[in-house]
Amino acid sequence: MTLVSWEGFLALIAGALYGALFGAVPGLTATLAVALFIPIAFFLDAAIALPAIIAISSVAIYAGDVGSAIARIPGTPASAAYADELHNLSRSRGALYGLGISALGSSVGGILGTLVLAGGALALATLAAMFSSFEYFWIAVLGLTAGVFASGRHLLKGFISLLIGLLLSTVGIDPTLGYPRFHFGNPAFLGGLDYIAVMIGLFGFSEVLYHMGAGTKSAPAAHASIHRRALNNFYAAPLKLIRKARKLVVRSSLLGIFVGFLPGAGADIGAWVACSLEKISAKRQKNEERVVLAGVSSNNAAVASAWIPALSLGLPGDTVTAMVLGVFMMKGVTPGPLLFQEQMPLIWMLFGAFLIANILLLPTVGLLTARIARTALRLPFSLLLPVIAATCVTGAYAINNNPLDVGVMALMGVVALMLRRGGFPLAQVVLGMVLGPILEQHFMVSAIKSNWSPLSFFERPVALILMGACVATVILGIAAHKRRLTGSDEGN
Amino acid sequence: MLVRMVLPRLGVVVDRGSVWIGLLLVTLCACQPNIEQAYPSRPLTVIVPWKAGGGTDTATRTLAAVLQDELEQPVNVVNRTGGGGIVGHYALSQAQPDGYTLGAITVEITMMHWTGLTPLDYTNYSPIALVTVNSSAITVRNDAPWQDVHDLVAALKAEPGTLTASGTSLGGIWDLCRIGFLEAVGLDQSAMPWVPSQGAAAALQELLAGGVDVVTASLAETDALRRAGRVRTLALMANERLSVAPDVPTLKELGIDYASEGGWMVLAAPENLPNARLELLRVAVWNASRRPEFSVPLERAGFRLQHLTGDSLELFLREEDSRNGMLMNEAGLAL
Amino acid sequence: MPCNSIVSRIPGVVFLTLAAFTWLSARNFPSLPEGYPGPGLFPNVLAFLLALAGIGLIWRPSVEVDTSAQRLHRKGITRILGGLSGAILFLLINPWISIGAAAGMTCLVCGIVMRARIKAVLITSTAAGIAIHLLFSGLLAL
Repeated sequence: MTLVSWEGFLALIAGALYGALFGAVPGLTATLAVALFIPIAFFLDAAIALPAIIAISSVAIYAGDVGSAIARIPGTPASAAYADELHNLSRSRGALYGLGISALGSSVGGILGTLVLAGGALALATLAAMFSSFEYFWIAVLGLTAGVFASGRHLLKGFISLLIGLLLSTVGIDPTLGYPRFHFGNPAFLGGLDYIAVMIGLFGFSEVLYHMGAGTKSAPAAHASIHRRALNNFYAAPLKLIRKARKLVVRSSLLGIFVGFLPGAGADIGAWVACSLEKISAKRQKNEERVVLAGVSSNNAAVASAWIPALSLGLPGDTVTAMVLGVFMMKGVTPGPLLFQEQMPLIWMLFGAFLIANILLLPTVGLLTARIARTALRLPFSLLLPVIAATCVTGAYAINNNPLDVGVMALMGVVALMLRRGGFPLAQVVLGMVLGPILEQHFMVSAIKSNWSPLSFFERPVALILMGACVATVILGIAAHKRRLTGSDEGN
Repeated sequence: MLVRMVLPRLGVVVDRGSVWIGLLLVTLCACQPNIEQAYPSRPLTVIVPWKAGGGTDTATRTLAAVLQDELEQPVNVVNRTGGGGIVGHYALSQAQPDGYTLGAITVEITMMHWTGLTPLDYTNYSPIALVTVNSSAITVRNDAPWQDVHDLVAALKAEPGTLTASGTSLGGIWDLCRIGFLEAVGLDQSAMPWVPSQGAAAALQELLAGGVDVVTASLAETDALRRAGRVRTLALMANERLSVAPDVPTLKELGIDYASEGGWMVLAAPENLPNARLELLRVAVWNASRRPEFSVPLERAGFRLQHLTGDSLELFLREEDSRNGMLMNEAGLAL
Repeated sequence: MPCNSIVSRIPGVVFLTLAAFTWLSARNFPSLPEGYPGPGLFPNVLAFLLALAGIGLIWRPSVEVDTSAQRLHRKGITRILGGLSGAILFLLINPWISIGAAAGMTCLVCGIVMRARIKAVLITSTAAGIAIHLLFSGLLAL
């Protein structure tokens, strides 16, 4: 039985290249890539359209890391969790090695995600259907807690960064009640601040300004010998690392799967919790490779598991799966339990497409993008930074075609400069911005639903389990923090 | 002078070659073709005030793909999102009325000005044609005890205020449909309170998890779950049934005199578009909307395609504006 | 460890001010019927937490700052302003010319600020501008 037709295979390759382009350019996203493709997808056969969408979303998530490697610009809020680590790694050991970990880690995570999608979609869907606003509230709290404990030595500073992100998310029309807040009389602010613009400013543009201010002439470059063995750096070394850290990869992928299938911001929370868990449990100080590995595997595992509620419930988890459901409806395919009985060829085709995208395309397209990244990193620093600056302004403008976003981006570059000077982490700001609306929305909905009875947050079993997970994270995190502080004091 | 005095101090060395390259760049930048020919002689842009991938976006992109055949010019769709649609609607109203910038305006344009969020209303545009109409559908969980709308109404009358509904934010279009429906059956809007949500998908998640009892979002948004057997659609708040769901009755068939146009989308240009161009666009949209590449995919996805233009479109917009204003007033949302 | 006690307390004061500003702006937000808190609840909770954290920073100032950025002198600030003007230039000229040309200008300004060789900057800016123009105006038609 052939899983994917030849046309489907070609669509996979085309989708992968297209997704790589959209993922790697700041400001362009997987969502936009799929949206541009939808009118074409309506005319195409489902056996061509769906593999293309699968390849676009799988590769675009990985390609978001290319920006982190070159310019510390993460492509998605999830990849912000490990952007610093990946950037340092690419600087010290070469872009091929850094992106090799990212591509192969994504690949393994994606394969595990696909297997769960194939094996347990219906069971997981039942679980997803149990999540009401109370459970979502606790899962947002869990993501925020993980964010605080991922912030390294100074937890208070991580907490403050998070609060700044949450405050930034309150700009604009209140998501539940429709009341305009903090818009300073400017209608352009009513829509709120775009978190991608903020992310580009905080990471990419601040990096440009930082090196301008410090007068850096050249970047710390990797040893020339590292560049020579390209295939070894991209494939062999990361594979060895993955084999050594297989427990970590499986754990992070499972986290990505089990948080990622929740309709909403699952993928982001999954990657953050995975990275945070690795940082908490790490015995050594230098574990950049393992943090990156944890993040990427959970990140891409979530791409596959986001399809679970769409396929088995008909509930779109994110914009991409919403568009997939549109294609389903158009083709007369009915999602739901019956899909897994009556449309087995289609299901096999989807799984086949996912597997090919993860096993074949991610490593090959990954090498291609990593080579481009390596070339970019070889540019003299005084030329690379201006190009990054140009990319930042264009990227910020391209998200909504809104000039205001460019201003927000530039302002965030300055804010980030000050935050960095004071030793405040930046990624937590992004996390706060992404989770802020989820947290507030589900708190308000829960409160309105239950007539403001505080007990209602503790009544449902799944909510209680999630609350337990939050408390456990706090206890483990504080214990690990104390251990690390005393450990480093002894070291001094 | 700038070149001689300032740049060397900054440590920039300028030689003759680079001056030439610089001059070349400036000339290239200055050369923008700006010669007007017969309309349309260059690509058109369509502004969508909502996110890529949403219902309005899908309908507009599908229309644009066909429209560019009719106009023989590329038609590009851009999303100008934010502010509950205000940003994109504002951008369209501020564009040049030259027929090269069009946009999708949605039902929110007849709602937002009542709350004082923006002074913009439908008179700030030259409407070209009504494209889609997505009527609200009364959707309940599959295991809900009510078999039809009459059961639901009886339950609401027996114990007002115990059942909750959701679908979008407070005062959004599906909230207005709820108020209109409750009013038509002689109930106060507190008989079925509104639980705000970020959109139809979030509301459906709540419905499945038992957080709310009724969702009033459109059939296009709930149809995947309906076909998956997770939810049942009791009735459609429309004047006639949808071909994609022939077994779902309308409220009027059930003896409840209420129908709402729901979330509609109109293709429009900025105010004061020259008449000749407006006519040309009307014809092009009419031809485009009759082509199967446009109508078949959208109808299968649960959209209702309805074509109105000219005076009847003006009338439609005026009626929608006053009706939504009235409902928002009753909901306590209007100024 | 010698540490300037006033300077190290500045972040705490800044966050305290930000919290106060948030609280003041959120004062006039309406509340829900029956007196339940409305849109102001979330900002107020955040302002409260931020104030607490700010007090914590004032009480026990952190000595851990990014030392590599400590050497920020006047020249550095001038260069940062130069970089910012590159972004502002983009905003100013973007409505009039193609997005690629505008981005090329940003690249040019930043390159001059970085004091790279001017010929190399011009070539890179042109290449970046053309690439961005092809991608964004050509392919995506923004």
